[in-house]
Amino acid sequence: MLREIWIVCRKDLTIEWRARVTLVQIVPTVLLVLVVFAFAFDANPTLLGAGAGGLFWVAVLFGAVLGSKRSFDIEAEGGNLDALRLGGLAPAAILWGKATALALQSMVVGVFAAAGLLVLFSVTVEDWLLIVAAGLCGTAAFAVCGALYGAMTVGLRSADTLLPLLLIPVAAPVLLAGTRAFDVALGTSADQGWSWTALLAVVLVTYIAVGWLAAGPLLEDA
Amino acid sequence: MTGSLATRVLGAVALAAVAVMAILALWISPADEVQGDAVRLMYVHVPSIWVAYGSFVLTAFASARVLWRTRSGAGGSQGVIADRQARHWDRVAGAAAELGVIFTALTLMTGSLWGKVTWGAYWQWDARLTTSVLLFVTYLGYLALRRLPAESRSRARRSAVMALIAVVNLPIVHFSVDWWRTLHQEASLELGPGGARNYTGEMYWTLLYSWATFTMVALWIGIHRYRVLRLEELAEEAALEELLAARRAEYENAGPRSTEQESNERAEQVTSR
Amino acid sequence: MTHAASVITGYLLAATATLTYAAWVVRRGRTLGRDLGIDTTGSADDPSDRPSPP
Repeated sequence: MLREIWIVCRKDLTIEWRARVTLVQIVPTVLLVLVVFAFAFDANPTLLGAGAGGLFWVAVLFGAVLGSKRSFDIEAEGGNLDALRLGGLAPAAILWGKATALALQSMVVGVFAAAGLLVLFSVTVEDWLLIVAAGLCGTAAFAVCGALYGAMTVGLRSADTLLPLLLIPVAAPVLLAGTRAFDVALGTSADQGWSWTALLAVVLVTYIAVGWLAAGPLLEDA
Repeated sequence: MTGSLATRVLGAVALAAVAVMAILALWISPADEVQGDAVRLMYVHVPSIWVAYGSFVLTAFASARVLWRTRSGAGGSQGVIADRQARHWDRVAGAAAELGVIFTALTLMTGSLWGKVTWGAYWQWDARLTTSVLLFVTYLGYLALRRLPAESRSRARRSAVMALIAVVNLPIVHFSVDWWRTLHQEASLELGPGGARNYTGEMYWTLLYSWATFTMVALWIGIHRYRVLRLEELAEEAALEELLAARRAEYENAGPRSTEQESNERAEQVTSR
Repeated sequence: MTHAASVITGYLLAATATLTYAAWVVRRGRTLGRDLGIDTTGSADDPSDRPSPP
């Protein structure tokens, strides 16, 4: 099973390495979101600093939506998904392979977004460990959701416009908990950052369990 | 054309119940000491969300049945029966989700009107309100997913998966939003939508009666919607048959040809698709 | 807005929304039924839907 997951994940990462869609299109879009928010708040440093934690997660969520769309676009073309299935890969292996690749790509996006915040919004980090822990759990949760909903809408007409509508409400708890954890780590709020990170971990585990059950019905005869 | 004796009786009873409910809720039940007449919005607001919750539970139950019925391995005559039952539960899920969305929308609308007169604002980032609006958007997405053209079996399965994810996600959303708000908002709102107040006597009975009325109305619409969904499927099948018949006629008119020619053409059609 | 006005607005909104949806469902059923030549899907419902005896 692990080997199969690795095969799918490596395949996706190789495609990404050749096409560089994440690096050349998604990362710039995410950075653009940060710049646009600065316009919305009239480049007010106090406001931007206070909202930096939330901005990070909104930007990464947009990146994850684009990423999961892209991740299943490459499968819809030319019946790749059928080929993978016929090649003997289990539905769960396909889902987890894609989710893993998506998580790695989202983490890259997250690193760029965080760097953008440090530079553009001049925030200071008080607790790096919390940032890393919450960041890892949150982006992984986005990736699992994205892979699930990507698999759900793969090959459908107007899936491009539907995916954000499906994905954003489900990702709302991650957005919320991630924001609170980051606000603590950036020193803009005195909340229980680690409790929120624990909530992120619980959400991640729940989504993984759901994905485990859903992989079969979603990908068996898709 | 979707009526039957049973639904006609149900519809008549529901209509009469609505009339009685209007009298009970607007005249007979007393005004609240604190909120005055605004409390009467409760008789629409609260039953709406109860009916919506009930519909979403039914959607989840029906979706579980769909997945149970379409799991692989059922073949032959067993498979045919399973397929029919899966289609049945898929229609139940679709009709119920639509009702749920309508009644959630009603809850949000009446709630914000109620909020305006009791809190002074249409919207508060209260835990319940935020959860309700996310619930609403989630099921809007579910309905959008159902609308997309796809092969009926795989559409039924993916919508079923989505409905079950939505249900699993609901407690997470509720818990996180609750935690988010209670940490930042000291004073909880005692009055108004979702306020923790106990209503007794005539108010209590009017509320229960309104709930029964709303359930009947929802049931009536839901049964009709189920039948319309069935008709939609039949219409789709009929359109497909017609298309096939036209294709066949076209083929026969062209006269007898060599099998090689035919297979070439078929291959062309397949590749051009 | 006064209390009475908001109550009336709320009730009217609820009634309009429900009636509009119900009317849409019934009318759609009529149109589809006419197109398909089906008189009623009523109490007998669709026989094709019932699991046939094995």
